[in-house]
Amino acid sequence: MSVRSDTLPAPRGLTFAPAPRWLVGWWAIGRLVAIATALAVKPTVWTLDRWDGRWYRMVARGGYLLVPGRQSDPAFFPLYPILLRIVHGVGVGWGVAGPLISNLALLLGLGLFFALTRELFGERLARRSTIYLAIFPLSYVFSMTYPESVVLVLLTAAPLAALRRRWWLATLCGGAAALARPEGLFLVLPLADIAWRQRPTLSPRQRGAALAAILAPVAALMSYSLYLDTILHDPLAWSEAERAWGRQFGIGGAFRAFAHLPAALGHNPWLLRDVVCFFLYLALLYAARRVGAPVAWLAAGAAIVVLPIFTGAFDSIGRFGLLAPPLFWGLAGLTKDARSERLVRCLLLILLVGATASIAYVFP
Amino acid sequence: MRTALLTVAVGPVGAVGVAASGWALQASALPPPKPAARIGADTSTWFQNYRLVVDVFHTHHRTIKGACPRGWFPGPGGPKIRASLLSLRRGAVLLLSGRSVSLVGRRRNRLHQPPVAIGDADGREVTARLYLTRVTRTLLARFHMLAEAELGRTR
Repeated sequence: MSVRSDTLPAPRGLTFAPAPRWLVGWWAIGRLVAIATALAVKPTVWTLDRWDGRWYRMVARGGYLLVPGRQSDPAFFPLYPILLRIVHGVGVGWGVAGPLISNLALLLGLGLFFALTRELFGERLARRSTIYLAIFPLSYVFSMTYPESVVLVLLTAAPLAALRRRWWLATLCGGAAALARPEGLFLVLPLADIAWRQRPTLSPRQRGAALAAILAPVAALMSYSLYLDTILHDPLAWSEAERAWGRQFGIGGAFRAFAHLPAALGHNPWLLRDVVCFFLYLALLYAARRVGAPVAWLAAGAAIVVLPIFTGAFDSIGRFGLLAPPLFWGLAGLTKDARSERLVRCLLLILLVGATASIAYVFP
Repeated sequence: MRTALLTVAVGPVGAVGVAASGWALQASALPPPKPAARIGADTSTWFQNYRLVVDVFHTHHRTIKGACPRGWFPGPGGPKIRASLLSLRRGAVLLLSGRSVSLVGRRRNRLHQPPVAIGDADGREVTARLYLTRVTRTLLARFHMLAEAELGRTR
């Protein structure tokens, strides 16, 4: 199978047909399983609003505050708290606002993911990979007060807009993605790839807009640093706050992550989930390469999966992988016949139940 | 040449637009931290430093007890200065600012000079004189929690 990003369609908007029924159906199944399991663990909406959700809510309510040497909220990027604030402003309670945004954004994100994947690989692989994303074990995060659903929307909208030559829209989405999660930065790679492929057919203005889209994630990250400098007098407060979680980026970080793994597993056996995800994701990236995923996308996916261990820890890699589309393309590429597809769907749904139940014990 | 210049000009202008609008969005949509929360956080940090100061000094084979809090103190000339205060158990209270050292008092039978914490609340200076000879871990945690409590009061 080969990618089709170089055979560009005629310029058109980002508008796409209403989400197909099967997509809405799988979104509903995934959310039903995740939410029902979470409520079975503890029958309150706060189950979906815990762990990092508490931090995002704190930022939404009171803004940022850095307590040097302590875990503090500049580690949590601003777009999602802004959305929480807006939704709360129209009368939705804090506890409901997060899960509401996340679940609805996921439906939009799945639609965009399907459209993007169809553009790159065709209908059949797009359908399979979208279903797998909807019911992936760690996808319970898409129902929690976490920004992953919103980032999925932006992370797929930006390259889709770029493929359709809506470069200013790609700029907006790329910038917004980096304001929601640091993974948004890796959009630079696929956007640069698409711009390079379209280069001969773009007008000078469009080329300028394409350059703006490539620079947008970095510019958005700078705007966050500028804002932190304005209110906390420390442009790197987000990095400082990350350090209190034991995350400090360095070349020796990967070695440290592996060297300390036995001790870390002894301290927190749940970490095994993320270690397994790490190696599984590497295998899925390889599978994505075999189905012909563009190199830029593979590089972005690898960065999302591999770079976190350079901070010295495996924690949460399972969740980070949700924002790496090549993983789901790879999984879809491994299950081409109907039987294996059914088998994987069943397995994913069972694992989704188990993973969601872990909310009570461990952060995603 | 002209088309290349147009491309090179439009790209960075767009990126600057993203940075500016991103900053404006955050500044307008998110509240600044409440003064009380900021003071709580600053005090927590201040105490963190204070807790970590060495209160037993070894010099010339002698052991001297004292404290060395850091912060803003009334300077010799009047206005407050950023300095370290070396307060010995018996004897001098020294103010260390940059390279200058000045004698600011003498104490008898007092363990330490009470340190002074100064915070800034909406441009108004808030001074707290802390009559503490020891900052416990619990107290430090309480000040740390003050910031969070202030943010989550209506949670």
